Amino acid sequence: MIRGTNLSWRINGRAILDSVDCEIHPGRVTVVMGKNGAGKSTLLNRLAGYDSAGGEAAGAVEVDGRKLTDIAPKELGQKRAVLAQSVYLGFPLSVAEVVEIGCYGRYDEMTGRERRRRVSHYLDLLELTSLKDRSFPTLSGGEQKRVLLAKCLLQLDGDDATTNRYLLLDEPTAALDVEQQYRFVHLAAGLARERGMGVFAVLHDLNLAARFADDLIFLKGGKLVVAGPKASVLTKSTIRNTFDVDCLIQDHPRADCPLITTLPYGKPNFAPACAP
Amino acid sequence: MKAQFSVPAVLLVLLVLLLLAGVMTGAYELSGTNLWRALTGRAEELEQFLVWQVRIPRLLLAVVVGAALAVTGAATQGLFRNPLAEPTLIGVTSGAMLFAVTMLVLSAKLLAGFPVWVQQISVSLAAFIGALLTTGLVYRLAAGRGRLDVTTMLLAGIAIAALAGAFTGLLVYQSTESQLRDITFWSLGSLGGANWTQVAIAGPIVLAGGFFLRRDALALNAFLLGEREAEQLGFRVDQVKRRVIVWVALLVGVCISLTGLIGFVGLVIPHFLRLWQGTDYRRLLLYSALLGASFLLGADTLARTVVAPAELPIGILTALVGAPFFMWLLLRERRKSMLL
Repeated sequence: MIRGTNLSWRINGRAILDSVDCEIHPGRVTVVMGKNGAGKSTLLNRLAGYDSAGGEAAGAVEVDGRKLTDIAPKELGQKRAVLAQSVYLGFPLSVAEVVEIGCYGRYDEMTGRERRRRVSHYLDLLELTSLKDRSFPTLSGGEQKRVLLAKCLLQLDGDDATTNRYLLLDEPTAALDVEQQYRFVHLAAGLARERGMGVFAVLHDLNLAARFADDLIFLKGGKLVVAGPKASVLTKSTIRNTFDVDCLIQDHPRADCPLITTLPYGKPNFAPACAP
Repeated sequence: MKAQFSVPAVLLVLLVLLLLAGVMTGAYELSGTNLWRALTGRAEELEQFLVWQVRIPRLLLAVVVGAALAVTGAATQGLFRNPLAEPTLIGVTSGAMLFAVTMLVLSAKLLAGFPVWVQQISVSLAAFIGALLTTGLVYRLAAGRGRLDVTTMLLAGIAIAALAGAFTGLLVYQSTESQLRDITFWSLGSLGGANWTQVAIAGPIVLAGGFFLRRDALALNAFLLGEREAEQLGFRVDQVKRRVIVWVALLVGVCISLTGLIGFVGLVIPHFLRLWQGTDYRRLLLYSALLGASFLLGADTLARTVVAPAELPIGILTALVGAPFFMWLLLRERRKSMLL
């Protein structure tokens, strides 16, 4: 389990993230939601253990009972992988080369043949084999996300079965079309669950969250609104308190999950997201 | 269909051919038999001297400097994720230039009584110190809050380069006719003064630098996806950056101090190889070293022969050959990407 306690991050005294507690459980999908600027990506960065220079960080993160700061970067890189919101390649690499970067953490432990075997396994798994020699920047947004997911899964493909592994997705659906959004979250959540990984995802689409999340975290203005299992926290009042919109929550006619229709009321509310 | 051949073998053969051509041609042409005699120590004294004391050290220096410039170019481009990046950007060149020019102008007064070789060494030494000092300054400016920001470093590099350029201009303005000539020649680069001492200084440093930069090839690949990506994979990002910058500054500092400014090698060679063989740094650094060595060797051989017995400054040739080639490369790529 990754547990964040009292996580804060301030820039020049302004709280981007304010005393947030949260947990990521192995085998479960945790989705964090909130308006723009609510601190979702900041929370992800803190849980990922990213260098927090540029602001004042407070609070602590524990990974399976150990303090995150005590874990060597290399080991951490094999316990959790982060799928970035957007990747701009400085110079073009091929799809296979990007995926191979996933095993750089254990490069010396593998022979070239073993590396190629694992790369082609994950290319296969994500139906990328026909694209393996293509230049990464020429792929569509959905294909690029799949390549990065393959890289992350390879990164977490350790030989030690007893270790918990975590996949953090920073707005994985940004810049994807409606179908790709659904497909990608379905794929990532499915593959991670199959492998017993804990998934932490920043999402904007309430219905994607309602469908795929086990646990939900709602943030507003850097503060925690509520966190917990989907069934107990996904309510009209939570959504109202987080997004300032009313909504209708029904049973999904075709799937075993809630269906949410937002009903924006009155004039749009442009009050700053992080009022002091 | 592409023919199946080994790229490093091709580059190595090219290098060997250019070495042979280089040792045989020049103001004094050597035949194959004479060359063989000189190499095995059975030639006349003049040819013996020419081959062992003039040509071979010069060829080796060209190999070492060419390899160093191309490798550092490739490494800086990867570190800054910027196709325009060159060691120039971290202030190495501007600092070397400023200090070398200062020495060229002042040495007439400071070192008046000393022999010429002291003056030459003092210019090299000044250039080297200048290269390291300015890089250090640029680094300090960019490394705020315990973290090195490459964008700030790029901007700081430009600012420091402008400042150093201004001071250099001031010195040039103050200099006499003959000093001006020295400065111009220095800023165009030359391998003319090559000797075994220079090879013995530059060789090991460049070899060590190449070895250590190659050890960071995986990190440089990860950097292509962004610093965050490298960090989450488990690379110690700041240490990698520091190592790369230190080695780049050291290598370029040594090369510039021995040969003056030689442009375009660090820009053209890695780009050409990238378009031909892809970006993967595990290959790119080695290929850059081989092709950079060949490029400078070829350019130097031309520089010695086209206006023989005089010599063209090599910087003119690298730019004269490199720039149009680079433009052709860009045009070709544009056409290709429009077709895709």
